[in-house]
Amino acid sequence: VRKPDPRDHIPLSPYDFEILLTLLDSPRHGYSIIRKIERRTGGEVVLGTSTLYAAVQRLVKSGLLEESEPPPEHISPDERRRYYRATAFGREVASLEAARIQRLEKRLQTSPVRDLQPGPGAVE
Amino acid sequence: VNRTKQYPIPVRIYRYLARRLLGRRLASVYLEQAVETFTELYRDTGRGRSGGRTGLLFRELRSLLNTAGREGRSARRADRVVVQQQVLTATGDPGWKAEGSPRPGNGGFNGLMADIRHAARGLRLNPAFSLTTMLLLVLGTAGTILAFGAFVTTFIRPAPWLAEPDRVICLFKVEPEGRYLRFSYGDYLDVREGLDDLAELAAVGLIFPFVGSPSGVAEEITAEQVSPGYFRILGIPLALGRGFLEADFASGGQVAIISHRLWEQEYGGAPDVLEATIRLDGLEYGIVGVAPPGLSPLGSNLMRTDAWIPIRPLWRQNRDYESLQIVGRLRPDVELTRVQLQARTLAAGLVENHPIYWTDHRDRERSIEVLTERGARLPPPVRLQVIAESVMVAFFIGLILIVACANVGNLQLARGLARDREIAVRLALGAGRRRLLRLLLTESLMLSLLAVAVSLVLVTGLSWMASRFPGVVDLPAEVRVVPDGRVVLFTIGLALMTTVIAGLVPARQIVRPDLAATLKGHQSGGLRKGRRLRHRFVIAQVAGSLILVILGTLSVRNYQQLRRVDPGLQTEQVALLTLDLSHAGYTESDGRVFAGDLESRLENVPGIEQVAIAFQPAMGPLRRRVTDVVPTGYELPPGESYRCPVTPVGPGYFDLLEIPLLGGRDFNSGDTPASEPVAIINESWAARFFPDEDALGRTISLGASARIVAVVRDTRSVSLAEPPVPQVWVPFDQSFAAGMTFHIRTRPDPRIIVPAIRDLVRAMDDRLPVPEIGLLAELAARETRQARSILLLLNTIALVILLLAMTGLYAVMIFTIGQRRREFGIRMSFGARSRDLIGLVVSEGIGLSLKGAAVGILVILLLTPLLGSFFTGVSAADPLAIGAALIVLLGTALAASLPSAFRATRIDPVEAMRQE
Repeated sequence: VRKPDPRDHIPLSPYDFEILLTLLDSPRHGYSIIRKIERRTGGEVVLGTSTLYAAVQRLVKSGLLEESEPPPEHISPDERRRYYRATAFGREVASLEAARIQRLEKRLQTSPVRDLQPGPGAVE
Repeated sequence: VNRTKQYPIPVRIYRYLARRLLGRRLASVYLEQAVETFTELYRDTGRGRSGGRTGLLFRELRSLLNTAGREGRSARRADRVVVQQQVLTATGDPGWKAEGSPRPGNGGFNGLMADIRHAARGLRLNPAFSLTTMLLLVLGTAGTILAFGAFVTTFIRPAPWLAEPDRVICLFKVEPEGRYLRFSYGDYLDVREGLDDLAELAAVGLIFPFVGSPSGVAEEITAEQVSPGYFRILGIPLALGRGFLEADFASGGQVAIISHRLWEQEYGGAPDVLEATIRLDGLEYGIVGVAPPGLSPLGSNLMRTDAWIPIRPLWRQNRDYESLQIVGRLRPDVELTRVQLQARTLAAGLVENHPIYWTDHRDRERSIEVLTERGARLPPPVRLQVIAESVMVAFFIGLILIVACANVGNLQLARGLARDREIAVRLALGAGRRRLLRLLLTESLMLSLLAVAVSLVLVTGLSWMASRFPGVVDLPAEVRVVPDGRVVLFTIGLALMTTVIAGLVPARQIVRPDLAATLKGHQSGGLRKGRRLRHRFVIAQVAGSLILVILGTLSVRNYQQLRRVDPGLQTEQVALLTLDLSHAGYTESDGRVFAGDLESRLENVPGIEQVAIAFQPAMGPLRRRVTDVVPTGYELPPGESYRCPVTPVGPGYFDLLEIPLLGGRDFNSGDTPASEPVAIINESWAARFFPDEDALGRTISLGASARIVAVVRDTRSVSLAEPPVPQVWVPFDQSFAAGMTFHIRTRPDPRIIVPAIRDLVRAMDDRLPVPEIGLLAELAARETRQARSILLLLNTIALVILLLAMTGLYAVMIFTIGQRRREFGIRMSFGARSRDLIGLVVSEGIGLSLKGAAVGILVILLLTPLLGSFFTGVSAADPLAIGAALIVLLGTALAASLPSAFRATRIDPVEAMRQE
């Protein structure tokens, strides 16, 4: 079996990317992921619970995320909470994706699309 | 831990939906987390913020639904990829990815042809399955096609030889309470004259003469006697010769038109047939024409008729013979309603002129009804009954089809079990589920189409044989099928329907196996889920089988009962000679002399043992009008009547027919017009008026009073199916009539004596019209002939159904064994003996049968009132029939499960376990 190649996962789906970004610094549980993404995007992206876990399942399966111990400051009496964080492979994919988006941004600067008025954004 | 109870309702709903929608894979790991997250979101979404929670719920629901769709698809895709990789690793084919998904011939015509080729190969490779399925479907569909064809020919399709069928009309004499009667020749002449400006009319009546040589081997045929112009008016094109002319009638009517069949078979199809003669009832008729092929009585398209003759003089001369139908054709530009109106006016006039024939026994007037030819096939008095009976027949035959389809469905499921590995591999290799479904359906459709084609050929072939070689194949004319567009369309529809019932339902189960498990050798999850469906199939099928077996048993019982019906008189070896002296110039005294003379001469004919005179034959509908007959001085309550036929009979009548006298004396030669009027009554009459007293010696009011001299046992002489009616007889001499029937008991077959009798009559007076000579046994048989053929049909159906039930149960049991291999293996390794396994299998078979039987019995009980009209004398809820059917069915269940049970004992436990 060959070594997994981060380029196989590029481009990431927007939700997968958001989730990955959220889990780069510290482990989080589901509720926290949804809230964090909501806050960071100013309410533009609000994930549904099932969407989140479908994505988590996918990302865990392809090795971008892994389950982790809760961070010390988050020790909670509720044992049912499960925490996830990005793997090294996930970080690699995330940085590749970020680079791709930056290149995309640059191309958009010179594209006539910038003159278009942004329409009402469709979030999930 | 009953923590769920504490969750708010939306969380519980979410939990439920998530478990249902997220798919097994996702839910098995993440369901609890998702519910937890949702709970947190729900608790924390601001109670303050308006719409916050509603917004959350909507968002979550949308998310659930999106995920559900994607999850299902991607899970299957993932499976496929895994298996593809396994297969490719195994086969070492490196090129697959470059070519993309290996799904050749996915759609369009090529795909269809590929499906058909593939299906044909599948069916060929599995001949046992294909043949069984075909057999089942043929059994089911052949019956349905027969029924539909009979329906079309009986009620819809106009006779092929009829010109402009829409302008052809049929007339009926109608009683006030709606009964339809026929006309006498005198009526016909009156009606023809009265409606001449609106329609051309002809009269026609069925007769059953003996055809053949005078040597004695006579065959009864169906013939029609018709008025002049019958063929011209209906527009029937003769194959040869001419129709009847007025001159034929004037000259005595010794001419005949024969059927196309008779022409070909008996006269070699040569044109010189017009110089030949045909012998009917021992009399020569000159052949003047040949009918077109298939010419049959109007309104009964397939009844075989072999000869047409001018209406016999006896019928023409006597208004008492009310057995003719009036048919005709509207004149150009005449509306049916005008004829109907004028016919009613005409009837009112006829009531004035011929009150005896145009009023009933209570002086209520009869009228004339005019219907189109098609309408006349279902005249109003019987319309509802016929429709109800058709629906019943359709129900029974539909039941056969459903049982057959359920059988096939089960077979398909069983085969699906055998094929689930093949199907899983196909799915894994990239066959879409929809595509696989299409493939399975193509197989089913091919089977169905093949089956209905076979059925159609079978049914029409049989019908053709029956009409062509009547001796070899005996199929009642009513159920012969002539293929036409309607029948073919119906057949195709039938094939589609059977495909859906027998193919689609199981196919949907078959294409849903659990790939990974199946490929690893487990039993298919999809099929395990199909267990309930399979059981439903079995239950429906057992229920249907039971209903039909009960009906079959009932029909056998009914048939036996009908055969056992004792008419109460001895009908064998009795010939009937019918004469009418009224038109040969006889006075009453001449007639008495002639009748007495003939009787004594007949007694001297060799082979004749006994002779008795009577007004009419001892069996069959009563020609004489029935009147109120009560004891002298008895006042019937107003509005009530006691109808009772009074028949004049001569001495020896009861003795000849072996009707026992329960007391008193027979009529004798002393009972003359000069002596005291006497009468003989039957038990029913006596029971009505003298329940506790001796009726002998009492008097009865018959115009004059007559003394009762004897009571005889009841007979079913009017109709075998109905209970005896009250009857009264008077001496023939005291009530002489010009119409008379001699009852002649012979020692040899009466047919042999017939020519001698005819010669005797001609020798005595050749002015007399040709006498009618028939057989009493024939009259009795005609009564039950139709009923008998229906019962025979039901018996055949019952047998077929038993076969269906057996194959169906057998298939299910085999299936069950296949599915429970591993379980049996485990049981055996834990020490189960063969006996235990057999018990296990058999009890499952019997248990399923019992469930179906319960449903079937329920249906039968619900249907009981409807079935009453079919089985006279036997109730549908007949415990004996139900019990017998149950025993037969359980016996069948046992027989069907035992082979599978023995097969179960032969399972090698090690082998069975290793397969998992």
